[in-house]
Amino acid sequence: MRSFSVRFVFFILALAVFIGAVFYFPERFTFPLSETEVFILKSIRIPLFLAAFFVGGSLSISGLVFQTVFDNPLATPYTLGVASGASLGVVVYTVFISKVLPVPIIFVSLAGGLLSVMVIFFIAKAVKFYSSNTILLAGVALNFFFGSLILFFQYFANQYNTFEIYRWLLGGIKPEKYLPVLILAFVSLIVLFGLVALSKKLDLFLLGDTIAKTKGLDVEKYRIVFITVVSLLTALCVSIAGPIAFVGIIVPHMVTRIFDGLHKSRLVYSFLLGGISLVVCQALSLKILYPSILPIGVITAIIGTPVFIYILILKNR
Amino acid sequence: MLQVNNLTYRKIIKKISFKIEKKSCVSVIGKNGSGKSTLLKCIAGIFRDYEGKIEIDGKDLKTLSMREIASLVSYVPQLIEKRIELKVREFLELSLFPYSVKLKNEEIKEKVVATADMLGIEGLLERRVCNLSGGEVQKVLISGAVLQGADFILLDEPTSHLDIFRKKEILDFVLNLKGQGKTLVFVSHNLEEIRELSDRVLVLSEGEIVREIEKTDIDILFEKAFQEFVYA
Repeated sequence: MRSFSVRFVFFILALAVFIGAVFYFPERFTFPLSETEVFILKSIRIPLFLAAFFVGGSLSISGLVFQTVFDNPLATPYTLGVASGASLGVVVYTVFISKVLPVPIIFVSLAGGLLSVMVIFFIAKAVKFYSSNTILLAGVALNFFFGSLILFFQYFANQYNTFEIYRWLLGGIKPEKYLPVLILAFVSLIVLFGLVALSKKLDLFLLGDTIAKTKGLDVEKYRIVFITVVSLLTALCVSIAGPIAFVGIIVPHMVTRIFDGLHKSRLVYSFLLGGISLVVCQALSLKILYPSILPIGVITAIIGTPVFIYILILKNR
Repeated sequence: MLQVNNLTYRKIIKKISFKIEKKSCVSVIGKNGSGKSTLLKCIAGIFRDYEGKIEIDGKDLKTLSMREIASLVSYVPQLIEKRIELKVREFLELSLFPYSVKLKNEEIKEKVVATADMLGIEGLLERRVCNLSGGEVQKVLISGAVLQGADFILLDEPTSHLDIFRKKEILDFVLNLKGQGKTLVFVSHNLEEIRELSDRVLVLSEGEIVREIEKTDIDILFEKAFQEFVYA
């Protein structure tokens, strides 16, 4: 009952922050709203902050799951090269395909993310070892490789494409259409509820592989299941917002430190806190250089780096 | 009954066969690297890519899911491989994972408290596993194994890194399990411990069973085998 009340209060807080951001950033709207303001609210601010909320929530639960199944506090949704794979998909599309075959960017990004996951599992299968370290190291190597390929293709791109790629890689949410936001909202909520339903399995990962197996968890199978699900969710986020750093690593740490309880609670709090964090970062990115917009990825990195170092110091004390 | 037939695991275990009757206590002794822990891990379902057959109550382990294996056999490791920050209560609740589909949350909580009371660790329930002493951790691990409800409990050197007082505590704890009719398979290097607990001793050397000693012969043959295969 107590945990339900805490979750409810937290939900109300998230809603308040969201409404505040929508009405106050980058400029305050006053009531009654003019027709122009209603238009801006409907077609720009609401989809923009909704996207920020669901991207933040999704990256946070992805980070939490990655840290749990890899038993590594530094694992992030981008560790396996999923974000760089998705980014590579977007870069290849922008440079070579966009003029010949225009398709929604969401597909190329998802294809790139999926490619990363498949390559990693192929490597793990080749070495016949599905341990967390094998998958993690394969992911780190793939991350570097895809990063190099992005630079390679960027080198051949024309001036306009190079700039477009550069801006996209900084991370930023464009409030162009409702459909991608609604798809993300639907998918992220399904994944959240699915993970909550499987939360006991995630809890067992906290005991280490050996004990988890003796308690009845098929560790290798569920590691693959969880990694695949959250990698696809991450690729979906990247397709909408570009690679946004640090939310997926910091929020799960904060949740673990602030709130009691296992994954059933941690997932819900991570989703809400991650959502709120990115809404706040989005509001700052609109305000700081107003009327220009600072890419949200720059804000998360500026705030995230010192917080990340602080967590590192705190953990090693 | 636990029946192992021609068990081979990589080059560590070589065509081992033996049977263990229910409600007995069998010790496995041997030098470091003789395959004792690997044998236990094969039986516990941690290593599944073995050759040969392991059957518990007539069920082939390879045909069972991890959850089904966990309800038949539980394993207490020598050491925990990572820092567990969960509370003891949470750890014990997770030990009921094989039955989590059937049991309601209230039933799980009740079972945890009842088992903790029975084994005398009720005072530890709200403490975190990572803050416990070595002896307390062993008690919690063994309690978790009991909660799993499996008839077969595998104990991998549960007292090896404890001082003599804690050793005695854990030994009493294990004797208590034996009194409750659990079947124990016990790896140890401690002669007195093995003598006190065992109905039978399997002597392992370089992945093979080189001697089986029955309870009636323990006093006569045991020290000889210990000198020959453990201290040699």
